[in-house]
Amino acid sequence: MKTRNNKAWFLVLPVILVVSFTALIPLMTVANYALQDVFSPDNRLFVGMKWFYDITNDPLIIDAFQRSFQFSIQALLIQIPLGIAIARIMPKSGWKASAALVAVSIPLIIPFNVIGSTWLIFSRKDIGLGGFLLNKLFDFDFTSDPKDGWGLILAVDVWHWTPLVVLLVYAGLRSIPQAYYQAAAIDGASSFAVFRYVELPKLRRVLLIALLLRFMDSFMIYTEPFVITGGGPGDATTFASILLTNIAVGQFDVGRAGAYSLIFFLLIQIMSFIFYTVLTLQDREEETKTK
Amino acid sequence: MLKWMVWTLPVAIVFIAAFLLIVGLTIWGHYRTPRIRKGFLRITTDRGDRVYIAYISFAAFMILWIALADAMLYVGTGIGVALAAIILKWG
Repeated sequence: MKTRNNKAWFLVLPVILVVSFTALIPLMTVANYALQDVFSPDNRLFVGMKWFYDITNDPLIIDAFQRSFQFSIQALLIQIPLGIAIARIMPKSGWKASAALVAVSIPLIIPFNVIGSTWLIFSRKDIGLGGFLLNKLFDFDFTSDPKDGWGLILAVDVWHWTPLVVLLVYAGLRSIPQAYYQAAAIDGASSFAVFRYVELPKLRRVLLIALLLRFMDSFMIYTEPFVITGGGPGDATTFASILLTNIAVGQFDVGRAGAYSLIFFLLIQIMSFIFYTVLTLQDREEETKTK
Repeated sequence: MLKWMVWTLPVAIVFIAAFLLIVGLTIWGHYRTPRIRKGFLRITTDRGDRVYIAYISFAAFMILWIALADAMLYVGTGIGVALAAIILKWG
């Protein structure tokens, strides 16, 4: 058995120090807020679990969480198949491969706010090219029709984040040895059979990373709906994070916002843990076997 | 100096307990290396993993309890602690 030197953990101390100032101490404050009705540091009232009862029974908030879940699932259903499809048809080598990679990754390096304002102008029916053209086909107005607003945010998310799936899947595809393809060719396997029985099993782990990264990111989506629709029309795109900001910064209701944040944080914790467990499952199994 | 953090006693207790838990686990782990095993959760876990899973499960259960059962917070806490204990022992 390998002996481990646990002294290396001391090298993590600076990070712990920084994180405690940027995350842990604010989190403690949030937890304090969640149990009180705070008017000012001198004027506050202990209310126990009241805010938690409020939050978990508030239809507005439950709706917002459902909307976030729905949005994440729709985003995944579009982005994962689309990402795989694009990665499969991308050039495999030479300058074309590099050019394709650069072209695909452009959306990933544009700042979120810029993406928001670009799409905001692009989709307007009076001055935007996209909105103008869509209006020739059907009545498209993302500022008044909830379905259009939702569709637009979904389109922005797909445009912004499918490249991440493409890059991950592309890297996964390149790591499959040529011998598998040659064996498939000798057997006369169809293109679909190659995908189903050679590529898909080999892509399993990469796809898991893509799936969970994309799920987390789209679940916490904030900037795009904030810039483009502001949570509207009505509350069609008021996702959990948008509503949280409205409660915390808009209404300055720090007690409710504190309880809300803790529940949101717990959800993210659970998902991150599942993410981590699934990713490290194979390594752990091997580790136990060697011992 | 700490006034802006609007401290309350329960939150202070929870955070101090969590801190002591981590320190305690570190010391315990130093003297008795945790054994990695597989329980009813069907994943390989060591002692720290089980503590974390139990902690998170307890929190998740409490939120569900608060959302679904209107009162009886103490009953819920009891069931939650039992759940955490089961995960710690057989997880």
